[in-house]
Amino acid sequence: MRFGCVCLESVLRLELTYKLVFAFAIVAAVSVGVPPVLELRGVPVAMARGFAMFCAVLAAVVYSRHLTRNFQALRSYTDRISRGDLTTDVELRSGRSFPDETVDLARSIQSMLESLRELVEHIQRTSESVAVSSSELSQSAGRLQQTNRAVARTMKIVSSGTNRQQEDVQQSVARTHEIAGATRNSAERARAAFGLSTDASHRATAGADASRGTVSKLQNLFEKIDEASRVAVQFEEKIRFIHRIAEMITTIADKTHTLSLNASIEAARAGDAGRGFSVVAEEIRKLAENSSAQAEQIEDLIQQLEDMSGRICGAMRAMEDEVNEGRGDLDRILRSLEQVQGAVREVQDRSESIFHQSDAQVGQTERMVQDAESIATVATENAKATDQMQRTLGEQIQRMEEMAEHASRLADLSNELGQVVRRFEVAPR
Amino acid sequence: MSFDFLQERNWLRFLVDDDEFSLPLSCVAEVAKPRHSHMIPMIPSEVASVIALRGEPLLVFNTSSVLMQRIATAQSQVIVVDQGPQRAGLFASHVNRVEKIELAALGPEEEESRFETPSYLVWRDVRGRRVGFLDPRAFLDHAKTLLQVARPAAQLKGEQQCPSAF
Repeated sequence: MRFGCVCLESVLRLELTYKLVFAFAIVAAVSVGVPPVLELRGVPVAMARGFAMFCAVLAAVVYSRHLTRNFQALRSYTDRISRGDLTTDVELRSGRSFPDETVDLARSIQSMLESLRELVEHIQRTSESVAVSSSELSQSAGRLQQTNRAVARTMKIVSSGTNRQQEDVQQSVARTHEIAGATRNSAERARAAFGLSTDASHRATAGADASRGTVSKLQNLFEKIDEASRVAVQFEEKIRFIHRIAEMITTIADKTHTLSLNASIEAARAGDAGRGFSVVAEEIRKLAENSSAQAEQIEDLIQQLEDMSGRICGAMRAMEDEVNEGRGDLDRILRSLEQVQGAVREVQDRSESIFHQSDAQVGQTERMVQDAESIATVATENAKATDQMQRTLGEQIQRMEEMAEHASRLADLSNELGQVVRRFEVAPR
Repeated sequence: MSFDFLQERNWLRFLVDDDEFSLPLSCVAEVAKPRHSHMIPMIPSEVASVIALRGEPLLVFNTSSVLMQRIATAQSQVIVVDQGPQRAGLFASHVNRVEKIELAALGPEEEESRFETPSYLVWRDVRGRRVGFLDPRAFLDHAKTLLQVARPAAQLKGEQQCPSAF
């Protein structure tokens, strides 16, 4: 249908130029043709020409009015459009029979009108959306600004904390260095202690060996003391036996003395006959006295020997007690030596373990120092980054304030745009 | 008092404690070791004990008490004094020897003594030594008197027996 209309329209199309030419032709025809006819009919020439002129002008006026009516309608439409009235479609009442450029113009204006409608509607919707969005953006910017301020405060706290953390980390690094130094000193001391304990172990072993030798010698000495004690007891018994013999000698000497006295008495009674016997008796008496004196000396010596042997035996018995105590002491000393040796070995093992642990601890401490230095570096970088972030956040807050201002301005602009666009009516009221 | 006994040439010298005495050898029967002594109850303190000497009882006197009125001390030997029918023993600390002493060698009689000197004892100086010479006969008479008179009196007085010299 529409295709048919288009085909018909293209067939019936008559451009304005031709229409003007046709109008000129009509005017010219009227102007030229009417006077002769009228003159034939008796109308004066002037009148005929005047009438012809009148008819030509009339025809020109009517025809021109006919030609300009579409323009006037189009002007009316464009005036409406210019006033913002986009509700009325462009429709031409004349020119349908022989369409010309005004139809094209009307169609273009209609097309432009439709485009304007769409554009205005789009702008209205967009401006409303922009207004809503800018309002939301403004609110969001405000909230974000508050949030940023809170973040800024937090960042300030974080920055302060980071600075403190950096100081703490630096102090920790310094302390870690101190700990590392102390650990190295401890390791050195542990090494020295290990060396000393090893030396002490060697010395303890040597001392224990020497003590065992001494203990063995002391045990031999104790056995010899026991033997000496037994000999002393035997010596005491022998001295007692000698004492008995000396007593016997003394008794014999006394008896001999008494006998010699009696012999002297008898010899004296016998007178001259007993003189020789008296001499013998006297010699026997002297002998007995000498024997008695010697026996007394022997007794004294024996007494002295008895005293000495008694003291020796007493000392031996005391020594025996002390030897028994000494044996117990030696056993305890041996046990103590073994315990000391075991303790020294344990000390050596432990000091060796401590030495190895200290060595490992030194390595770990050095790694800890490296880690602490890394942490300090990271903390420094963190502090710098935090400062940078704080500055950036400040800038961001500034930007956000600017953005909030822009959003506000955008909201104002969108409102203004809405008001501007609201002038265009795209739908019937 | 007669000192005829000093005419004797052979003397038996003995010690009682630290004092030196001599007896005429003619009245000395023997020198013995005291053993198996027996205590006699109610007897004067001068009498030490009775000993058995070869089967015969012998009355033994405390020489310290008899000669020097001292408390009896331990003595080791007994000198048997024999004068006829009378016989007694004298305790001695030590019998030294038989010696010859001439009367001319004797010094003068000691006038003062530390103790009351009995009548049967005389102190003389012999070559610088102070020696008590004992008259055996007078001593035995004194002993006889002591046993006959002093013992019953002691019995009447109820005296205890003297302490043993051993």
